[in-house]
Amino acid sequence: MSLLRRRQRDTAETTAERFPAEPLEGPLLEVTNVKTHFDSPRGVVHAVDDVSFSLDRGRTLGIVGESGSGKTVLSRSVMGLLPKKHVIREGSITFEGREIGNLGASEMRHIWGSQMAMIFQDPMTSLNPVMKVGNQVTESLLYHLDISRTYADELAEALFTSVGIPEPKRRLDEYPHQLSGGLRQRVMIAIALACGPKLLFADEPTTALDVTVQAQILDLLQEQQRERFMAMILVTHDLGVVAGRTDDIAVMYAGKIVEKAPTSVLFRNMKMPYTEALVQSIPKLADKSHTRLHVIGGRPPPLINPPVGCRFAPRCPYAQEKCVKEEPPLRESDVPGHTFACWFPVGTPEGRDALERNRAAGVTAAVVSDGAAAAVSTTATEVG
Amino acid sequence: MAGSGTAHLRPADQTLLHAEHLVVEFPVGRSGLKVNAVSDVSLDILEGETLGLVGESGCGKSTTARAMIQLPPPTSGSVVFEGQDLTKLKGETLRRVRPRMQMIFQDPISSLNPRRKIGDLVTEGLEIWGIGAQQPQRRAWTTTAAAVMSFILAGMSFLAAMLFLAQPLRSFSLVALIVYVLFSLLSAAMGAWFIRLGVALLAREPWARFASIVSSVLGLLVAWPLGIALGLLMFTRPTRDRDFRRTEYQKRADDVLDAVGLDPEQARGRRPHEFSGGQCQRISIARAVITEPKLILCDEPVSALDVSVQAQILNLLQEMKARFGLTLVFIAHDLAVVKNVSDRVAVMYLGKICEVAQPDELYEHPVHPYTAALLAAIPEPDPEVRPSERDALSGEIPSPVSPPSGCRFRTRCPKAQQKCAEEEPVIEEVRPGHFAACHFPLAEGEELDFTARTDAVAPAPAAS
Repeated sequence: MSLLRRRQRDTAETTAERFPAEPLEGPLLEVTNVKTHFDSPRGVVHAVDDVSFSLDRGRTLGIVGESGSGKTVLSRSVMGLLPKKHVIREGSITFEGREIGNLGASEMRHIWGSQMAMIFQDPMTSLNPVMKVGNQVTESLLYHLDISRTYADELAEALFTSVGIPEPKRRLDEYPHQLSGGLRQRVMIAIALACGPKLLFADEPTTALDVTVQAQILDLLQEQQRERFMAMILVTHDLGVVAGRTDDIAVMYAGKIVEKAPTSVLFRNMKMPYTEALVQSIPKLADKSHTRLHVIGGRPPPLINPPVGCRFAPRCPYAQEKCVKEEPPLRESDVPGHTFACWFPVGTPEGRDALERNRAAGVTAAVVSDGAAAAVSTTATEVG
Repeated sequence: MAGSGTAHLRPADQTLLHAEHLVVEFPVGRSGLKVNAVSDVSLDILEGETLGLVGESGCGKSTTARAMIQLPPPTSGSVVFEGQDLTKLKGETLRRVRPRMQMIFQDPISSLNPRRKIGDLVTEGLEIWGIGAQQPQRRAWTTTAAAVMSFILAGMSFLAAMLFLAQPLRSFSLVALIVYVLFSLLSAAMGAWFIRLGVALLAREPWARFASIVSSVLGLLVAWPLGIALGLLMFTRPTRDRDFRRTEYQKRADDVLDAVGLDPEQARGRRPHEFSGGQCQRISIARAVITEPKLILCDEPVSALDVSVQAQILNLLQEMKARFGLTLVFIAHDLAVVKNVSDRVAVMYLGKICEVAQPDELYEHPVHPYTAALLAAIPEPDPEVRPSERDALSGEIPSPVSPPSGCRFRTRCPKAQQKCAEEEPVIEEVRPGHFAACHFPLAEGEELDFTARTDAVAPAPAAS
């Protein structure tokens, strides 16, 4: 552990000239009105549309959404990992007060690993199969820090110990295929933590893993995050994963953040019908077996020409005329830090009223007034 | 953990599938070592029941289920399905049982052929089995047609060859050559077409084999004008027959696609990449139910899907079960999912069964420490339930090449004692309908204390 601490000090020294010591004030990461659109042959895909959030040092943010909601594209946009061609980007991303949204790969290389790091979903395909895992860890250490090979090896061993890899010395000399899924993900974490980044992206870090291993990996991430006072963004589709482990949660739908709140507020007092539907669709252990699950009817809207108005309206049980015509802005609720985008929020008189009206009519306003959206959703008509 | 034993089995005459003492071993290269993927597992399924199989990856749950449907057959043990011992069946007889047992795979997109259209993918099973469209008389008619065809074919090939050979070499003419080549090509094409049909029919009608031999012999003796005339006639008729089957199959496929919640009109002509993961899983389900199986093996059908889509697929499976009278084997590593769909749950660890019970009972009062540990590992979508950091099962599943002696879970079990290393626990009835294989089962209301790990038994020798 003392090795690790020494290494962190070294990191600070070597990167001092590239990143002049900022006073530890202001948010670590600020994302303002970021848009990431892809120019595809079928039209422009609005993968991330006008997303803003900020993250303080040492905080954890969970980004939750279905596949295709733009959560991965968002984290890759922030990391600068998207290709240059056919990507239209707008908005600003500032890291420690410095704009990084327009930096090229050569400049980002000083940030990747030492300032920001990322853990990917599939630990098998994101490790180099023909390189010993030890070398994959020392690669970034040797690149960012002015240290000797032997010292880097010692550091790698210390890192392996700290991420809970048994027999670290032997493991350093092994190839990824010799390790189990859980160990591979631990190696990924060791690589990401190697240079003591200030911000860690974990993009579905446990989706490919078993429940027991998932619990171990999430505990490890949380422990490391606290120990290093690192900010972390946990991207996942599983609300269960983020529930007990993040300070804030942002819910994404069709490229937009539709609700963002401190974790406990979000679960106790959700305002956005989508969040409610997402929570209800999880099978819970407390339920009796054969409990019918709530489903969200239909499927996410196409990201080429997304519908006007609220993007969730075609699938929303609360949807009214207004939802189809006007897009709801992100607004503050009475709880500080809780923002949501909905005209008829859950748990408010307007929301209850809207739901009652829809129940009475037996159909939502979105379906009545928007035949196209209804036609789209019939391709996956929900049984039940 | 785990244990052998058959205490949890129900009388064989009441069950749809009854698997006893299944053992599956895979050789490790040429080293002579073997992976003990499944070691003496016994399971049974009542008709209309859903059996949930849970466990970490590598615990042998998929291998067990696949051994049940003989994909591949187990190393030893017996599997009785509808009164037939599948392990004793081979080749064609085993193949005939297959449409009664279907499978749904984990990754819906990669389990569908990307180059085929949805309509073809769904009807494939019907086309292979000729189920539904053909009535018995009709089948007899086609068999007769096939016999006549083979007779013509033989005649034509013979004549083509004879005419070519009889042509004196010195009066070689290009026209004659072209005519002969065309004849040979025509008969070869007909031959290929016929052989396909013939093989399909032979599989169904044993006497067709005899008929085709007789007709081949007769074919040699018949003049070719008759052959051509009949051949042309036959060329048109079987095509009409195929079209008839096609439309019949199409109707069935449309019904099934509709049942799984896809619009047949839109879906039929498209290819798998045009669908989302959830929709592809619906297509896989349609493919599985179209042959009217009794048993469907779902191998992690929702693991690759989003929560919201997962809920849709789980509800759909329940619905399909009721509608088509299915029996399901449901494999998953997510306990909440398994609880939702199952009537009976078997927890597996390293090729052995730990615990078998009704889901509500199992989740309420887990008896086996491994089940308790699995339950503790589930992330609850509730921030009030703070995941405590020691509440995780440490370590990883041991290598199935050299599994631990005695109870296989003992290397990770917080309750392990010396006895666990020496003696393998046998499955016993702990409570009515609740079976577990453990020397020190958890008492009702007892919490598993993960810190109580006794290291005395940790570095124990592996069983040979």
